[in-house]
Amino acid sequence: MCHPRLRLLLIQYVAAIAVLTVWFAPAHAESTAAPVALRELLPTLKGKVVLLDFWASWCGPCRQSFPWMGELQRRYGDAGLVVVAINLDQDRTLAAEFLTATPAGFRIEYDPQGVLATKFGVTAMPTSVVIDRTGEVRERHRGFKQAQQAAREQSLLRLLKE
Amino acid sequence: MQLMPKGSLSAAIATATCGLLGSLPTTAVAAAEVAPTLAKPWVVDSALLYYGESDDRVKDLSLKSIIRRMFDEDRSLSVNFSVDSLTGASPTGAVPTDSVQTFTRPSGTGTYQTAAGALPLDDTFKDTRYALSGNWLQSIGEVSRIDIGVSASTEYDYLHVGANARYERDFNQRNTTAFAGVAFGSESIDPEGGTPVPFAPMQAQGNSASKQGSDSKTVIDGLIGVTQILSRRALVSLTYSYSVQDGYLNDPFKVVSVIDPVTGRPVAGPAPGLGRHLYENRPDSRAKHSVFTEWRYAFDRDSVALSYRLMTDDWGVTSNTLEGQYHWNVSARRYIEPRVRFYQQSAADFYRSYLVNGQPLPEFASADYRLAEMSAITAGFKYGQRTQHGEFSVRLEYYKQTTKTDDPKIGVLASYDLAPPLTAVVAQIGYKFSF
Amino acid sequence: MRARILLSGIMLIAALAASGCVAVKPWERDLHAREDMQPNALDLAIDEHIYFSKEASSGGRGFGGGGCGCN
Repeated sequence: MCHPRLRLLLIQYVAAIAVLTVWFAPAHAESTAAPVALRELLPTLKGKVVLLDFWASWCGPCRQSFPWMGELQRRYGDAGLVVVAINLDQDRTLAAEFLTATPAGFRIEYDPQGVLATKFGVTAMPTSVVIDRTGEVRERHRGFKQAQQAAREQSLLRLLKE
Repeated sequence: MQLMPKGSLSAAIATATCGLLGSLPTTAVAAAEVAPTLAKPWVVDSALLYYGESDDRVKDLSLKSIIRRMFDEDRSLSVNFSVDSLTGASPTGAVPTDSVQTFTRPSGTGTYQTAAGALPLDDTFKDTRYALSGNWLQSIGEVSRIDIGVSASTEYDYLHVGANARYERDFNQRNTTAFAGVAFGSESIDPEGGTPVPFAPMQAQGNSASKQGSDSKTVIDGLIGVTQILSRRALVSLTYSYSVQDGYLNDPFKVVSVIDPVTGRPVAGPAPGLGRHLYENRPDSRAKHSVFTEWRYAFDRDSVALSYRLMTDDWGVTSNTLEGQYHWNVSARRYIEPRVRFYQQSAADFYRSYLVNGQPLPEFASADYRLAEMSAITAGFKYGQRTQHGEFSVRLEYYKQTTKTDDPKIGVLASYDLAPPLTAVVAQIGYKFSF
Repeated sequence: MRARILLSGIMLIAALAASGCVAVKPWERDLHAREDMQPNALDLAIDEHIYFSKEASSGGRGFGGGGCGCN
């Protein structure tokens, strides 16, 4: 009879996929405690306009965004802009290699457990969050598009004038 | 016609937001960034392929290239072109016998002979084929993408034109992607000498009584599927496809021999020296259902992919295909990828190795070995190396196909293999670069 | 028979999608971004081209087969 055989087949299929996926999965320890530095990050930056950018070495658009962010830090650092790029690489050495090839010119912090990323609801790479001088999140950008650069720079200027 | 494979579509689009699939190598070997970014919006991926069957059978030399140009991070244009040069001979479906046989060429303008005991092969197959297709893909909003394209290909007696469209949408923080696509194709065939009348006998040279004019067919394909990220290392995809073809589905170069029920030799045909070989007759529609699933797993350094496809159609063919490959990243610049494929199919309902003289003619019949019960194995490897500007690769595979025929080996046929095994070598050199 | 297959297929897909209880975070997708985890469009097109004219099955992977006078 067709029906029970088909159900059995589907169960076997799902079981096979589950077994294959779990078999090789390495055990890993999960820690939800953020390193102290990260927890203190934003409180210490109150009074500044913060461009918080979440990136990883394997992300193409991140590589394109770095020169632009470096330029912003150079131009508006004195006016009170702080660019902080939060690296989410699971393997720190890949981030180091990326930074050697693409120097930053701004502050880099590391969040491999993704604690800060989860807190800010990061759903795409890169994600930029703009925080004003009072510590409020004012803007969120998913991805990096060259067409948006000018507009984003303008709105940063507005926030710096506040 | 082509519906773009999922990976290439997402990889092209998601470079703007690294949503489902980014495209940088894990190690910052900045030398060979072969994925497009706005800094290097062009990617050219080309390959030269040699396919050669044993025993004077088909040989194919082809050049294929996919050229993609990114615009604006979330839009791109992709152009595929390929040129194939086919030579060599293909079995006609006629049976071997214990004396020299003479056959009329499909064009009607010549004849060819087959030695005693040899499988009749027709080398009229020499041809050059050109194919061109273009696809435009772009994002719609943050989580959807659409791809539309057109395709065309031509050989001297054949023309195909088609259009295709595909839509994808992400869910679940882009862990799940659902997609659906549809493709239309229209093909026309106009062989030299005309298309044969089904079940009409092969006539002598110069006699076109069994031939008529050109013919055509239409194909509609649809697919839906889903890809699901299972964990940091694994993903699985499941696709259901439906394809229906309508029109002229016969192979104009294939025949079925009518043999004597006692001796097993082809009976006399409409002209002296010519046996009775009827042009094949297939149904004028075919509906196929396929289910395809793939599982990919990333280790720290290497990765593995396994896939399975089940196909069933209303011609009675059911097939199973199982493929596996292991991608061994030997170093940051080099990889070796062994691959294996197992294939098995059942015979079409109307597959016959021959027809028996005196028995009533069936509704449909074809002796094309490609519709017979068969199993095949492919084994080989691919080697790749990053160079300063791109990636160079070499692929070498061995293909062996064994066919099983159920029809009893009457008379002299007992000494012959009606569908001998087919072995072929595939060799490919590729180069991919971006600028 | 066909309706049952379709229904089971949809249930399976829904089950897979619901296994987003394994929602992998975007920054944990480093391995999936690796080049060897993407299908290779050119190799797939070449394979399809070879097998299409030697066997009775074509496509079903996510392309439509066709475009050649040889099958």
